[in-house]
Amino acid sequence: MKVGGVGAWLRARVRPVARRGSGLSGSTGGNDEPVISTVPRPSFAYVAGWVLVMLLGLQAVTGAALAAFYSPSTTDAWASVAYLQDQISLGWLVRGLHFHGASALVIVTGLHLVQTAVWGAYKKPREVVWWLGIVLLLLVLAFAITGYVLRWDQAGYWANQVEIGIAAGTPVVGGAIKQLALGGNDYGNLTLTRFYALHVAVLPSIVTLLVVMHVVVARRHGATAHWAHDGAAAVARWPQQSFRNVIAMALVFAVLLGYTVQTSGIDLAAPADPTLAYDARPLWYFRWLFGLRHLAGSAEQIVAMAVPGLLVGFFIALPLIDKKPERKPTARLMFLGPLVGVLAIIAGLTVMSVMADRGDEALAKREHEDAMRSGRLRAIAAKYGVPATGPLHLKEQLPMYRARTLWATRCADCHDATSKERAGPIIGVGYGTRASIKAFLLKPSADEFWGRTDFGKTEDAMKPVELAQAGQEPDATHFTAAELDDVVEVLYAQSGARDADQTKSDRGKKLFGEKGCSDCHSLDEGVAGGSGPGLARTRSRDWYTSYIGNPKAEIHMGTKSEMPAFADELSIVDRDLLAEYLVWLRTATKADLDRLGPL
Amino acid sequence: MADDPDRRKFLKLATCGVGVGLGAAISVPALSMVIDPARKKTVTTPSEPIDVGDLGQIGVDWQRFDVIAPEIRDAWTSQQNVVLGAAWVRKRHSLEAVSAVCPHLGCAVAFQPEKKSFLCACHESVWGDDGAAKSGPAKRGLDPLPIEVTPEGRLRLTWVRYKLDTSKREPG
Repeated sequence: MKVGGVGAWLRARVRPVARRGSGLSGSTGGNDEPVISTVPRPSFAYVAGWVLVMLLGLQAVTGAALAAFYSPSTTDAWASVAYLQDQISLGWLVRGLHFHGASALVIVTGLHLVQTAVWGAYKKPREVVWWLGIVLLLLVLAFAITGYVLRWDQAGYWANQVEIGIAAGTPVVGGAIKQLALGGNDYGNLTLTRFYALHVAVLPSIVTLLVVMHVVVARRHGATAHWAHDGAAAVARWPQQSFRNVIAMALVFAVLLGYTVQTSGIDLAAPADPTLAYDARPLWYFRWLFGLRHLAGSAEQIVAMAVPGLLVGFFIALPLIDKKPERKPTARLMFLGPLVGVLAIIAGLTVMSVMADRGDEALAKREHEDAMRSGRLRAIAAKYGVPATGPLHLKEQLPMYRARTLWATRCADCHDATSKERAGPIIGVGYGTRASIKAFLLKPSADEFWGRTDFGKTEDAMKPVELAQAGQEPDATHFTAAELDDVVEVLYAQSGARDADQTKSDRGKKLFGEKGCSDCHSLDEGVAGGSGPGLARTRSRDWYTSYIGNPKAEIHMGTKSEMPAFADELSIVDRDLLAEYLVWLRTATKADLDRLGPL
Repeated sequence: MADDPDRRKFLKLATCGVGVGLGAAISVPALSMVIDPARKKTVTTPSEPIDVGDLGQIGVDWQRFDVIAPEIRDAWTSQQNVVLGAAWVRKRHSLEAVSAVCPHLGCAVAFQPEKKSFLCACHESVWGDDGAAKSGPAKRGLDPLPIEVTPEGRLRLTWVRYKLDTSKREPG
């Protein structure tokens, strides 16, 4: 069979066959004559329909890819979007194309409608085509609304709050609309599953159906000729018009792709947080309404509902009021004038609203902070994963988050170097190193150690270790520098530090007895000193857990401690987490601490 | 026989009737399923007072406290320690708490200490230091929330969401 034969075979089976008297363009009235799709003459004026089909196809393809990753629940939605955006190859591009593709759909649909209006193509017998087109524009906007909330970030969440807020203000049925949309009494899992079902199942089916109807009915009447060429002979679309169509489609896609790449796709804000204020701004195509509401003040509810209603009403009524066959735009100014006026007002409101934001420095600062925050959170999500409890618990993924939070809320006031109310020794990076133990031994009541405590100022406080002066013989109370190092080593070794020097430590233990340390302290496990704390395993993880639980225990500071016991307030798990953090601090540097990021 | 007008009329009616019935049989269960949650309380948050902090943390100026529910049910999930929202609390002559939910459309309201006023960033509603509406689209003052102090000095706040964008305050 020849190639042409295959085409003919296929055409004979799938091409719609004209019925007698149906008026289908290109039909000759014969029963078996295939309908040839025609245009009055090949022109770029007729490319909009195919460009829209391409854009809808793009949305379907990119949407299906996104849906393969997306998980519609309050705990998963943001996490899955962040994942596909930040961790999946080209995820950012597909998501960017999907988002900006929606904008392109709105633009091209708008241009298509304006062109149809200017050409008077909505006139008899094409009213139904026009109405289907308007409904399709509204459905495109419905896609945008249902899609925007799915990302469950601050931007989508708060924009939806406002949209649902407007809908809920509808007289009588407002409450029911809100309940239906949210799937219950409040934002939750069912809100997402509903919007998801609308966005990926309900709206696509309706739009597909209406597009088919729109095209079938449009074909029935054929493309409208330019008003100056009415009655022009028809030319088959294939291939002259089709070539123009495909060029236009390619151009629009190229612009869309270029824009998406140039803007690095579309942003994802921080996860939706009902407690955190956000400067909700609608998508740009609703921006004029946002600006209008701003101007309307207390009448905003009416404005937000009534103005779009009136606009749609005007568009629907156009073919019914502009009934004369005259299609020349200059002869129809009373109909096209209001249309141009409305478009100018929409453009003006959009520009005004955007300009108002431009001049707002405080807003720019807040937006910058939001962007920084979302960047930090997305980095945490990429590095550590989002916990199953949801992205609001994201920070808990940070290393030692719980311990650091406990530290900040329970310990920092008394122990942080920066605290104004410090009442105990400074505890921070390097606490428990050899250097810090040595400094402590030389001056236990220094400001950074016991200096801020009441006990530190009393006679009972620990006496400083005294170094033998140059030329002086070390005795029972005076240490040489090397002896002090040995004692430091045995105390340092108590923490379980792996780098403790066993030989030095053994010497230190001997000195501990000889130099009188053991008069007040003990290095034996579980044994309190005579008048001071037992020092076995000090600054080890177990020791910290025990000390935080009850510093007033006999083995620790006894009644001399001014620190509250946390055994009742903090669970053993929390105390252990704190202990782990304190052990980590010993070898950490300021840079390590900074690397953990802010809480 | 085949062209009997009565028979044709019956067949037409029957075709449409069965078609409509079939459509309804498919749609009714699906629709009623979809409508069901709208009649229910799908997200249940505690109606009893929630511990938000210590009396010692309160000052004479407004401070923000997260309201964290020990447990919420959201359709099929149960979650512990969920942030429901936030409240602004201060103690002057008495203890006062207002919801940080904007009574206009539900954005989060922030206190600006330098201006001694509350601001909702979404639509620029402003309230005075006392929570009374000053400017912007909000139709009422900030919503006060019941707050109490336990004998141990813990603050317990009852979380209420009110209907948005109404001048009268009614639970939503």
